[in-house]
Formats: sequence, structure tokens, C-alpha cells
Amino acid sequence: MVKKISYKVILFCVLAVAINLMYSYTLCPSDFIKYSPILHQCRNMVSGADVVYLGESSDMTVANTDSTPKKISQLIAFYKPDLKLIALDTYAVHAGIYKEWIKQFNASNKPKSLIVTMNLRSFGAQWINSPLEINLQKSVRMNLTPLCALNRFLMALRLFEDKTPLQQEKAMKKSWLKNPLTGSTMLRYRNAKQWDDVMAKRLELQECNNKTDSAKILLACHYIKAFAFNINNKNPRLNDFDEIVRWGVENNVKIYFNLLPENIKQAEFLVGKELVYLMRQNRDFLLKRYHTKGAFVIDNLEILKGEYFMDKNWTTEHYIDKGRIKIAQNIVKHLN
Amino acid sequence: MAFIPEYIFILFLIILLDYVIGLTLEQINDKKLKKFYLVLSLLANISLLAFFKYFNFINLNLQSVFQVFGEHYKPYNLDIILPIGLSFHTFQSMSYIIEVYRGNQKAERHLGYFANYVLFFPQMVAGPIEKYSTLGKELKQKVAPLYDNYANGFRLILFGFFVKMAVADNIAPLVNSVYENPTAYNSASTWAAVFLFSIQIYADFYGYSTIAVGSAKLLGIELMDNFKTPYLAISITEFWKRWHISLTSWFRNYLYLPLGGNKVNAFKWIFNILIVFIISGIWHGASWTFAIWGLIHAVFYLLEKLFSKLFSFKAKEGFRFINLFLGIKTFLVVSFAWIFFRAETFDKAMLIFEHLFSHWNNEGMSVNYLTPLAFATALILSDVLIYYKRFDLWIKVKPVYMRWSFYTILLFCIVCLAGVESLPFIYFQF
Repeated sequence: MVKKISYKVILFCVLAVAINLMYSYTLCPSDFIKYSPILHQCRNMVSGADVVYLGESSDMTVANTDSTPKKISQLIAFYKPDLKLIALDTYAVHAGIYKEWIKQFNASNKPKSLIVTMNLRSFGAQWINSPLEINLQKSVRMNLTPLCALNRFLMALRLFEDKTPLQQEKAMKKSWLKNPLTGSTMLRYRNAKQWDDVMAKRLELQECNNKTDSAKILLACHYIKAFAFNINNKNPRLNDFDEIVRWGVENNVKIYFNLLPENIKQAEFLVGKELVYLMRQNRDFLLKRYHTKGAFVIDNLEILKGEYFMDKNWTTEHYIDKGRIKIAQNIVKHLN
Repeated sequence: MAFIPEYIFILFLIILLDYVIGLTLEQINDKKLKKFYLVLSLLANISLLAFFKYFNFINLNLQSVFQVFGEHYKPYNLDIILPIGLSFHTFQSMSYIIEVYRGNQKAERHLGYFANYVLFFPQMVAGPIEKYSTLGKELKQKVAPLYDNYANGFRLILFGFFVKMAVADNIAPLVNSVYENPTAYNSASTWAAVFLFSIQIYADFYGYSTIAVGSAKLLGIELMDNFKTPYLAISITEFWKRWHISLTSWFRNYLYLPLGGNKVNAFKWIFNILIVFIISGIWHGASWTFAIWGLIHAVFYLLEKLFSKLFSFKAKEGFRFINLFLGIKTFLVVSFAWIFFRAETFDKAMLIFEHLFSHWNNEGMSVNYLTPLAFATALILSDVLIYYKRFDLWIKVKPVYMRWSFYTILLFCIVCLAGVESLPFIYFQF
């Protein structure tokens, strides 16, 4: 029986190899474009780019009323016409996905410099446990192993779904509760959960009286959930940025992190100085960490006034034309 | 529906309770006391199911009842998740208790064997719902490693993966998009979604059951077949002899027959049929749409019986011209009934019906149904080829070149063409 089974196992392995070969020459190229379009773009990017800009919705959102439809990356190219800049961007991505994109560059098409979008919110529990994560992880699965048929199979098995939406929600809530807020005696709340609860109670009281105030408090709660955290060495997003820095050092590519502006004035007005303190503390942590690691963090956190933000009722990094221009100019100033 | 580790205690509770009651039932002779223990066990199992599955549904309906009488009732919404496979293992455990009560089954003395019966992993989450007389016996048998068991087990697993991953998962995105937003699609797309859902749910459940039977076969354990080419059935009666066979048997043995079966007057019999089908519908989910689904099957079942009695018509089995029409008729009825099963609400189901018969002039979006249709056709063709047999038994007698050609095609479809959307097994939610 053992002999019989061994024959069958060998035959099955031969079959698997044949299928992999067959797949790699037939369906794989179109599947790669279909399921991992950015990976495909990276792999097939023309050589000779001076700068590659890796962005998310901050580089994709423009308003109809804007004087220019140019995105941040296009504005950088506009202000630095001598540089050949290529932008790779899609919605809701973060460093965990960027690091997979850059692995696709080969020796001939790797750029001289890389500008990587660094969104402060992407370090928070809300983003780390986002329901969008499943699709993001799926978009880089076609490159998991050297065997393309195996990658396709693993994608179909959905091994990237390590958490259900419910588990993600639980993990997010746990993080708000368990991660203490530290750094200053001015912080009155032990954690984001406690802070949010206090706001929610205020909301309950207000709801009966004044609807405008209710909307503000609701937005304040969003700000707390998005920014009330301390970045420390255990933050999973740091590993992703570290990996990008390591790749830059190994491949001799200059790395710039574009720390996106946040609506600081709005945060202070809605929540208070404590939240702004935390945001600044996190910014300083990132500046310090990456300057010593060989990357440069372009600090745009506070360069924009409130009116330069497109969404007034949500915590997003979407900017109107003047805002995008200012960011691009600040980036250009630091590029060398 | 989810796997939550703490929920394992619910399973332990069912196992312990039914194990003890099983032993007690065997030792007592007093009929009243026996009945008491039977009711106790059934109540415990059903209460558990009712709590997790029907609490919110009952509450919402209570609210509607109160509204009718002009009273205000604020329903308490329980924020809990249904333990995975609860409907299946409670039904399996109940079948054991009923059989012991009836004296058809000796109570199991070994807790380990009984626990293994309830927890047997291949069929624990979505059946087939086995009787203790069959699975219990199999679990106790010492099985020597047999080449045939391994070969047939792997054949079934391979085929099951193909049916689930290539057929069901490639159809699902199309069906989901139409059912999520029925008003956005034109009539042709709605028809495609309705028919393809019939294939999707079959492929999804049939795929799971085949993998379950195959996995058990690797261990030398024979599970019952849950499906026997149901869409080739020429009547609703026959459909239910071929679809989810283990559940149909359960309802026949433990609900329909105790209600009197067909050995009662016509009105009582009609009532029995209606009750069995509606409860079977509600078993699938806590919503009236499931009850309507059951009711449609009951009505057509009764109409068929009436028709055959009035015209003394009895279809003969096999490939006949008239059977083709009867088969199409059955498929149409089953497909229309599935609309209520799949739609989240009654209103959405009605919207689907509306879009089936209007919006012909290409208003609304259309879907690309070529790939799903190709896989659906492949499944129906395989049913025609296999007809009433199981895949492993059908293929094992074919010449070696044909067998391996099939394996290559199946493996290629699983590895390279499987659907990639996030789609758990549909029946896991029940």
C-alpha cells in the first residue's frame, strides 16, 4: 500500500508543478493585473525614475471647486520639473502595503528616492483593525511565494483573513481600553476608552438640547478614536516603516516619509489641548526614530490651517488645492 | 455565526446532559418519568437553540404583536453570535435521546464515544446529521488502514473543493451583488442571479458535505450522503429525497411521523405537511422569509400529491422526454422558493420578483455571468454524469487516463480558477 500511495503522491506533485507552469504562462499575468494592480505597476514600472511617490487617498482626492486638479505628487513634479516622478497610489493603504509594493522594484527600475506617505492615523487601533485590511492584504497576496499558482490558491483560501470583522472590532476596542495614554500630567484620561466615554456622556446630555453641539461632540469622539494613542516600539505599523527604511538602505534608495497634515486646530477646539499634545508627542517620536535610522520625516503635521481641509465633519487627510500646494512645496524644499 | 472558543462549553453542556439523560432513560420503566426526561432533554436542547438563534426574532415579533394591541414594547436586542453548527449538533444529540427513549438505541455508557459522536469534526458544523445507530457504531469500529479509504477520501475531498471553491465561490459575487441591490439590475441579470443562486447554494452545501464525507472516509468512517443530484428531481417530493437528506430524514422520523404522518385524515395530514416544512424553514434561520420558503415547498408538495391523485399520474424514473419538463418545472419552483431563502427581507424578495418580470428593456446594470454560468453548467453536467452515485464510486471504475484527466481538471480549477471573494460556507450560519 505504501508503494501505491508513494506513486500517487509523486504523480500528484508532478501534476502540481505542471499546473503551476501552465498557470504561470496562461492566466497568471491577467490575474496579477486583476488582483494586484499596484504590484503589477511596480513590477513593470519604467526604469529611470528619480522619485517614486507612494500615496493613499490624500493623493487621490481633489475637489471640483479647486483651482487646480493636480494631486500632491503631480504638484511635486510641477515644482521640480527636473525630476522624473512616478506616483503609485490607491485608497486606504498604509506602510504595511507600501512595503510589499517596493519589493517589486528590480535593480533596473528602482528609483533614486522614495516618498512614502506617513499618516498619523495609520498608527492607531482604528486603522490597524480596519475592515478594509482584508482587501488590502488580498491585493498583495499574488506575490506571497515564488509559485504563482500557489499564491492564487492561497488567495482563494483567504488565509489573509486572520480576523473576522467581529474580532477586528474586539481588537480595536481592546486597544482603546488597554493601551494607556502616557507622556504628561496634563492627560486626564487613562485611555482612549475612558476619554471617549466621557465625551459620549456629554453627548447624551447635549442631545436633548442642542443638535449643533451634538454633532460637534460626535466629531470630537471620532478625533479621540483616531488620535488618542501613544506610538511606542510595539506598534505594528512601526515595523512596516522600519522595513521600508531597511529596504532603502539595502538598495541605496533615499527614503522620505511625508507625515501628512492633520487638522490640529479642529482637534484642539473639539477635544482640547491634551489630544494635540498626544499628536505632537507621536510626531516627535517618529521624527526622532527615523532620523536616526537613515530616513527623513518631512514634518507637515501642522503646516495647514483648518480651512485647507476638505472634510470639516470627519477626520480625513483630504486637502483643497491650497493645502496640496503647501504640502508639495514643503516636500520639494526637503528633497535633494 | 462564528467559532468562539468559550462556546465549547455549550457543546460540553449538551453532551453531558444528553449523556446522563440517555443513561437515565434506559434505567427507568415508568412511562411518565421517561417522558419527563425526554421532554427535559428536548427542552434543554431547543431552549439553547432558541436562545442563541431565535431570541431577537421572538422579541421583534412580540413588539409587532404589542403594536397591534396599541401597546408599546421595547425589544431587548441580544448582542450575541450564533455558535457555529449549533443547529446541527443539537439535532444530532436530540436524535440520540429520542432513539433511546423509543428503545431503538442502547444508551452509550462511554462518555468519550458519545462526545465523539456529537463532536465528530468532519460533520460537526454542517452535517450530515447522523443517527447514533450508524455513526456510533462506526466510531467504535477498529479500522485498519485501507488504500481504498484513502483513495476515495481524497477523491471526495478534491471534488468537494472543486464544487465549493470553483463553482460556488465563482457564482457568489454575482448573486450577492444582485441580492444586495435588486433595483440596480435589469431583468436578465435578476434571472441569472435567481437561477445561479440555486446552483450556488447547492454547490456550497454539497461541496462541504462531500469534503466532510471524504474526511471521514480517510479515518475509515462512512458518513451518509446528504445530496443525490437534487436538481435532476422531477417533483418536489423527489427533490426532498435528494436534498439535505439527513435533515429530511430527521424531520420525517422525529416530527412528521410522531404527528401521525399520512396515517391521519386529509386535513390533519395537510396540517402535518405544512408544519414540517415551515419548521424546517425556520430551522434554517430566524426570519419569516425562511418560513415562507418552507411554505412554498409545502404548497407545491401538496399540489403535486393532489395532481397525481386526481389524474392518477405517476412519473416513471429515468431519462424520458416528459421527465425533462417535470425536471424543469421542479427546478423553477425550487429556484423561486430560494428567492425567499436568500433575500434578507420579505420586501427585498418581492423586489427580486418584480425585477424578474419587469425592467426588460436593459434598464439598470447587467452582470457578467459567463464564468459563473460555465461553472454552473459544469456542476449540472457532472450531476448528469454521476446521476445518483457518489463521485468517488463513479470515478474509481473509470480507466486510469480518464481518472487522472479529471483530477488534473479539478485541481487546475481549484488552484487557478477558484473564487477569491470572502465567502464562508452558507450552511455554517445555520
